[in-house]
Amino acid sequence: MENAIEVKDLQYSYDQKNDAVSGASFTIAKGSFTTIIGPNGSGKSTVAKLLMGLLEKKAGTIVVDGIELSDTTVGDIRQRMGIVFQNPDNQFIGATVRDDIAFGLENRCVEQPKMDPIIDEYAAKVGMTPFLDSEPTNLSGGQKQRVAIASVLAMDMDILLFDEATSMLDPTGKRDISKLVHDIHDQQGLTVVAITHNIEEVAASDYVIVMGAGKVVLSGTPAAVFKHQAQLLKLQMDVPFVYKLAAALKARGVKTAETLDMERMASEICRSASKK
Amino acid sequence: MPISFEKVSYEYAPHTPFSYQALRGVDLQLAEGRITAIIGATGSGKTTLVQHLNALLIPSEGTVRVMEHEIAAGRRFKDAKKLRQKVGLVFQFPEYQLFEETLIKDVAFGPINFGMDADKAAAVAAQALSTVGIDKADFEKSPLELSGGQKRRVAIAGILAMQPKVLVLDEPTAGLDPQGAAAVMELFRRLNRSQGITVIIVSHDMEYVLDYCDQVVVMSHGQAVIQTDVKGFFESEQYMDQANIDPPAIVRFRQLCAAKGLKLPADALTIDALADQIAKRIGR
Repeated sequence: MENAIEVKDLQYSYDQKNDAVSGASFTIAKGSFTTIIGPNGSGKSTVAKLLMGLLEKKAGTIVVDGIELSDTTVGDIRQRMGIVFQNPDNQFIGATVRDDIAFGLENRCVEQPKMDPIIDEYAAKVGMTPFLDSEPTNLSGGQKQRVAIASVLAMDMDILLFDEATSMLDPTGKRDISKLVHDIHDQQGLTVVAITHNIEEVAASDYVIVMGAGKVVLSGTPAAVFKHQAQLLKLQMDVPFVYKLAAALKARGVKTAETLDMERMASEICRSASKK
Repeated sequence: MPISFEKVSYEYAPHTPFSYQALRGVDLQLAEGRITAIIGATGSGKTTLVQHLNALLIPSEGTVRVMEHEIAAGRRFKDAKKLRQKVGLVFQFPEYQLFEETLIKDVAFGPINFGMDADKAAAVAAQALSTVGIDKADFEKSPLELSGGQKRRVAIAGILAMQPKVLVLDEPTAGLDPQGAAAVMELFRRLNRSQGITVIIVSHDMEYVLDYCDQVVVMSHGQAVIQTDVKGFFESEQYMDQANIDPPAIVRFRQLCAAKGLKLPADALTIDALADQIAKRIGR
C-alpha cells in the first residue's frame, strides 16, 4: 500500500539537552484513519508540529505524499496536509465564520468569485451554513472546531492531522466532531491522523501508533495493540472497558472472544448466560 | 453547616434585549464534607450555579447560604472577602490565569492579596504546591515550562494556598489526558478524605463522577432537578435519561445486556462486581 507519511529516525530537542522525539520511525498508509496515542510528554504533539514543518527537526527524514520535507518543500507539503489544533479559540482568525474559511483561500490567491461557492460547499459539509455570518463569540467550542475543519478541507488537502481536536469539547461536541471526521474520512478517502486520548476513538481507527519517551513503542491495528495490556499500563495508558472486563472475566474462568466492540461482547455474554 | 440554595433565580443582563434567565428557582442542599458532582447539559446553569457559592454572582431572586454567610437577592453582600477565603473557586481552564514568573510566586499571590506577609505566604504556597504533587525543585520554574496537567495543578494550588473549607471546581478535568485527569481527581479525594474539605465539581465526565464523587446534582434548564447519591443515580435508568448524559462504560454495558435479555444487577458498578455477577450467571 502507498504511504501518505513516512517518518524515519526523527529527532527533536526543545532545549538541546533532552530529546522530545528521539528516533521515532513510522509509516501511515494512504487513506487510513490512524490514531497516535501516548502519555503526556511522549512527543505526540511535537511529531505533529515536525510533520507540518512548524518545528525544525534535529535529525531524520519526513516524507509526505512522496515529497521529502525540507525548507524548499515545506510550502508544497502544507498544500497537501492541514492541521486542526486542540484549542478552538486559538485558531479562529476571521471576524465571522465566512471570513475564517476565506482566510486560507485568500492566502492561496483564490479569486473572489470562485471563493464564495467553495466557502458555501465546505460550510455545508460541516453543518455550519446557518452560522456563516456569526462571530466566534457566538459559537460553541464544537462549532469553532467545525469551522477549523471546514477551513482545512476547503484548501483541498489530502491529509488531515488532528492534535487532540476534541479534548476541550463537552461530550456532545466530542461525539459530533468525531462523527464528522469519520464521515469525511469515509466519503472523501482522505488520510486522517488523529492524536487523541479518547480510547474509543482509538478503537474505531484502522491503525494505532503508541508513543513513549519520544519513540514509537507499539503499533498495529487497535486489536493487536490493546493485547499488550501490561505494556500499555506501564505507560499509564488507559485500556478500553471491554478489555478490562474481559480480563476480569478471564480471572473468574469465563473466556470471551477478543473484541473491541462492546455490543459484540454483550451479545456473547448474553448467549452464554441463556445457554446455561 | 450545609450549603443551601432557596428559590434562587439568576438573570444575566436584566432589562436588556440580551437578558437570559440562567437559574429558575433553584432549591438545593449541598452536603458538607462530601464530594458532589454538578452535572447537566451545556447551558443548563451549572457554571452560573457554582459562581453563586462565593458571591461572584448575587441571586436575582432567593437566598444562598454558605456556612454563616447569607447571600440574598436585593441586598448588598458585605462579606465577600471573608467568604472567598473559605470558598475557593477554580474556573474552567484555570491555567490560562497563571501569570507570575515562578510557580511559587504565582501560588503565593492569593494569600498575599488577602493580607498575609510574604514569608508566611511563601511557606503556605510551598505547602500547597507539595499537596498538588509539584516537586520542590520546580518551585522556581516558570509556569510556561510545565505540561498542561501540571499547570492545572499549580492553578489549583493557588486556590488551596488560601486554605479554603470548600473547594469548587468548574470542569477540572476538561482538556487533560487520562493520567492528568485521574491525578487531579485523586487530589480532590485526598483533600476531602484527609482534610475534610467539601468538594463541589462541575463535570461532564461520568466515568470520574462514578469513580470519585459521593453525591450528584443534575441541572436542567436552570433548575436542580435531581439530588441523590452517586450509586442511586447510576442505578436508575430514569435519572440518567432525565439528566441526558453519556453513561459510564460500565452502565452502557449493563444497558446493552438488558436490551439483549440479560438483566444484571444495577448496583454492580465496578468491573470486579460486574464480572462476579456475569460469572455467576454463566455458572462459573
